[in-house]
Amino acid sequence: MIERFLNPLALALTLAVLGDVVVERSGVLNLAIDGLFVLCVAVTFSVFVATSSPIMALIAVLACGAVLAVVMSMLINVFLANHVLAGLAMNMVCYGIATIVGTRFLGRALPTSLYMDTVTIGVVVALSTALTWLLLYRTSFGVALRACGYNPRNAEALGIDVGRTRLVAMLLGYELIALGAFVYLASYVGTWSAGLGTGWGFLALSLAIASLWHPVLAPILATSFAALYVSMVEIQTHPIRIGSVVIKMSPAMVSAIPFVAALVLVSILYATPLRRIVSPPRALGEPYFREERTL
Amino acid sequence: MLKIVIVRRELGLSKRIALSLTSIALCLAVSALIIYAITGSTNVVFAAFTSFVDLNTLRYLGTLTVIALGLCIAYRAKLWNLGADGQLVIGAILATWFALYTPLCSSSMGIVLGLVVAALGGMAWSFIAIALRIWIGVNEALATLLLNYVAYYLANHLVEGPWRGVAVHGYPETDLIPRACWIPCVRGYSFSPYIVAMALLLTVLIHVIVKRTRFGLAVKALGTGEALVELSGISAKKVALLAFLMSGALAGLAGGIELFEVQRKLILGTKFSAGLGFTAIIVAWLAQLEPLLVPLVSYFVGALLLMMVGIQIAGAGVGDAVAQVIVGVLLVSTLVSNFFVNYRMKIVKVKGVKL
Repeated sequence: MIERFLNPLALALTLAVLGDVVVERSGVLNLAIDGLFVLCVAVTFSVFVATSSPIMALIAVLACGAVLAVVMSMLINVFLANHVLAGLAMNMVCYGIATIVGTRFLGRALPTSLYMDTVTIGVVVALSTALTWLLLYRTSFGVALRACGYNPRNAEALGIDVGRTRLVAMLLGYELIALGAFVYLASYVGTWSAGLGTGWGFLALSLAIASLWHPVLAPILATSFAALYVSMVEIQTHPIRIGSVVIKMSPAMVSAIPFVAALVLVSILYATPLRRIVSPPRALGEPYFREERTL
Repeated sequence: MLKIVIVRRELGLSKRIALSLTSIALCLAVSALIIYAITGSTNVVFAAFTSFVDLNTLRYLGTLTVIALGLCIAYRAKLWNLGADGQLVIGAILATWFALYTPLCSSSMGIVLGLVVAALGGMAWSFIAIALRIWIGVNEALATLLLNYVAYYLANHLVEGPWRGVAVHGYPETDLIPRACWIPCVRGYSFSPYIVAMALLLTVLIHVIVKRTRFGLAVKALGTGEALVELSGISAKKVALLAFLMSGALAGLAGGIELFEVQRKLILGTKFSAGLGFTAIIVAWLAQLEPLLVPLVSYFVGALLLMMVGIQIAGAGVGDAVAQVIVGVLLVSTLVSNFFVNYRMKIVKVKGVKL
């Protein structure tokens, strides 16, 4: 049973969701996550196939995440672009580059698949969760980060450099998401086709929101979804019988389930007092302009 | 010590236009470079740019204009409808149902009725998101994004299962819709003058609604702040609902147009929409949410999309991907130029202050 929750997909999703939590807690609406995920998947595949070395692929994917974090941070923090539009634009660019990059190696197989056992996955999930929680709730940087997401003006008044804090948050978060994409390709899918990974970024985003941006709730939801998803593939092949009712679903309907469920979960959480317990980043998606200073 | 300071400013209209043109020119230069880098031939670059005088661009103008007009209304109210793609697919699904499974298609008003059905479908789909926003407070950008995927998979389910055509040899698509439902195209081209005319008429209509009616003013006020609308005695919820439903209906209508004019059968969801709903978001913003500018921008972006189809035929094989990159770069350059419209950078001398 436990291996169902701790499969490679669960690890990939957990890392991506945690990364998104870090980014969005700093007040940056992270719509570029889908493009980032798709591009990182393509980069992992291409470099892995080209060099046959998982280490090189890992370095490349981390570099890719860092570059995108800097570019997005430029758009959002320096050019004060609208978060939604900047995210969508980055998505389009990333989808395109991903296809161009991956198509060169289309049809080639990964030299080795990165196998991870349940224990390793469990340890990594627990460790990344604990570290993210510690960072956000037990360090002064974490407090500053959350302050930027809650009220950037007040954060500035307390002497926090909002732009710099958001940049560091994006660097950290994007690296986590890039790692998630690496695991997704190297340990879960193992092959590549154009557009692979599309939608998983948005799924991670919706899981982060459904968990109200809390780093402990997030992996619980992520692993549950991964378990659901993996089991759904089985339900397809072996229809469940409850009494005389046979549940049989088409592959397309199964694929839609996470999205419907995320929407339902978000709605439930917003409609109940749970919303007040975990204070969400109120300034999410607000471009922050520091105004001219007379110093 | 020198320091860069960013200051707000107001620019005159002529300078704004100059900046917009600069960002467009920049984008064209970048796209020419990308095409050259991929194909390595200046001839292909020149051939690609003929798409700007190709009448086939009007096929994109029709669809993009219709969607972007609706989005202009929603975005003016600061409602983030990112679900035009899904609403388009739902519109197409309902139009397919209308054409294949009801006998109404062959009636004299068949096509019009089909388009109305499509618009209602898109409207219903957008209602889910706006209802969650108004009554529960769920972020509508997120809800519409998620609903896109539900719509794609619904289309996939239909074409892979119950609606798979008998004459398609196992491909995931429906049979062709009856000829009575085809919107006729100009001979030798892939666009219909009726759709172009309809798009232009809609442009004027939406312009009047946005600029000349109480509702248009209320939408603008809602974009500034909800309290403003409520204070003037209008229900902010009603305005938000109406604005959002209009954008959904127009996206659905575009789905019907795509089906009757271009595709003529339902195919896999993401293939059917081909990202037009997302491209239309960019069109709406490039047009600065001004309805009258929407057809112009649609033509420009449509020409870019067509250009990439041309490159694909020329053999690069990644035309769609390049198109995505270029349209994305176009939006990025617009965002950056918007910054220079609204802000000024100046370098000031700061005396050695120790904190």
